[in-house]
Amino acid sequence: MGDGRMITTYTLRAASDEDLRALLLAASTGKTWPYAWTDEDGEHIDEARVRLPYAETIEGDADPETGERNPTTTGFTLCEVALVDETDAELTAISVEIATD
Amino acid sequence: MMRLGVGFPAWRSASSPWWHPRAAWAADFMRDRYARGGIIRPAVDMLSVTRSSSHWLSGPNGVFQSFDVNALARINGRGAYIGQQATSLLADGNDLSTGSWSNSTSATATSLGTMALGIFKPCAISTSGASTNSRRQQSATGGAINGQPIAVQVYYQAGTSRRIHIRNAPSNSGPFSTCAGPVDNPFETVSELAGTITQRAVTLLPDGVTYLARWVFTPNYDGNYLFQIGASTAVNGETLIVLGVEARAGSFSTPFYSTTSPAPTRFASAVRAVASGSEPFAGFSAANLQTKLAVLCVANISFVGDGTTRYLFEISDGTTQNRLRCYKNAADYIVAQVLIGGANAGSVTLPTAITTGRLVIAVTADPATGIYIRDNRGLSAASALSSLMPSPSILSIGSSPASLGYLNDTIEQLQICRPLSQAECSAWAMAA
Repeated sequence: MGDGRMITTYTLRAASDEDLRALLLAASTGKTWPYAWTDEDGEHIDEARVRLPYAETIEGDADPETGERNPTTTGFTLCEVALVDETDAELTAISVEIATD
Repeated sequence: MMRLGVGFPAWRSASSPWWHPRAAWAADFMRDRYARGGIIRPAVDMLSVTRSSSHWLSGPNGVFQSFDVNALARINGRGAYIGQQATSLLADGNDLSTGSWSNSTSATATSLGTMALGIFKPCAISTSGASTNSRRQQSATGGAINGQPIAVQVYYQAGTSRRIHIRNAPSNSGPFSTCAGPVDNPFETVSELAGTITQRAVTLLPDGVTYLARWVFTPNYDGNYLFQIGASTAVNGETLIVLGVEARAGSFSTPFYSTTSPAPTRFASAVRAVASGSEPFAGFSAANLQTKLAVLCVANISFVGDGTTRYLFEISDGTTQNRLRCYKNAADYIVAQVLIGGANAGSVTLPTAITTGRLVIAVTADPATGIYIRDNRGLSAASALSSLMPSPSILSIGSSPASLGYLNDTIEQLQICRPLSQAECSAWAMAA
């Protein structure tokens, strides 16, 4: 990371978008800037620090004609929370992977 | 002899500061200058920026600058770009010579070993002689969803060929939605068998040799999104030079961004001035300023008609219950509204929808006189106002604190002032 800054990326994994959102809400408890929240305008995710949820994929079976192995979805949902120069114990507890850069 | 009032707005003389004389907080993103309480301040004292990724932004000369995490994406002469999160479907979009890309039949991709426009590594794609068979390509697994638009942008130059050929498809077996033509008109011939190609635009950049082609591809299938590009020529060895390709889910282009990640993500930019002690609303802690204020704003609007809500600013007490917000609504009308306790306390809407271009607005809110908005087209609207929030503590620029409606465009300046009269708002809006 340039300029001496450290980014800690927490990968969260859940069986559904709703379950993933529940993880983000739980990790947001008591924080000034939550990772996810609900208000009169609806459900929100902090796009400045949280990569919006996306489908988990794995390498699929080989195409019988081309031999290519196209990824297939697993049914699980992932997202990443990237924090700059800070860490979060709640995220550490619920992450399936933590990377620093 | 000091010239006063000649060629200047009524409220400014040749020797006065750049900010409005009644501004308590002022930011000029075009020239990177800031002031609070009439004292010049550095940006770091005025703003906080949260964005967990870098950001690329091009200036008026077309050259891109790279901005670090949590850094305001701002360029002199353009302003500050404040936008939503964007994930590209294609990796290494700024260097097609890398392994993220592959060749279709008979193509050859050669890095030119140079940099262009600050961020691109140009790649020459050469053909083997078949007119449209030689292409550089990348497929995004599951990147196409029936009916959901993909905004595509391509930076390229003529090589020894002056014709370009692009395909959007589920696979190399088709069907295809193609664009083909001379480099200055890539949409000369368009087919839409895999989905529609709309919002077509091509621009010659200030360097005089680089073209930017943009379009929205809306697939008519569910599956992979395959992007292919090459020269359209029957001459063996002719080349097309490609600088960068980006495709992202959405109906409009955002600043080009790419990394080697399989799904390069540029996070949103949350730009705020947050109360710390008596800042940033130091002036507002005094009487009146908590109950009446004006906001002056200049922004650039690049897209209309896409049905999106885009915020210019919001001042709140940290909740969604009490706030003054100003935004372009989905129908492209500018709205200024005060919410107290979650209920509408006063709202105005400019009577005519905006078009693309420079937008100047002045909003003044005072329960004694109401809420009033004026723009640089000479349009205005007024309404009664029951009250203002008593404890403003957060200024959110280019979005609401709820991450709603990012501006996805540039802000030139923003000033928070002691209340202005309707006449003062009008004078500023027409002179800014």
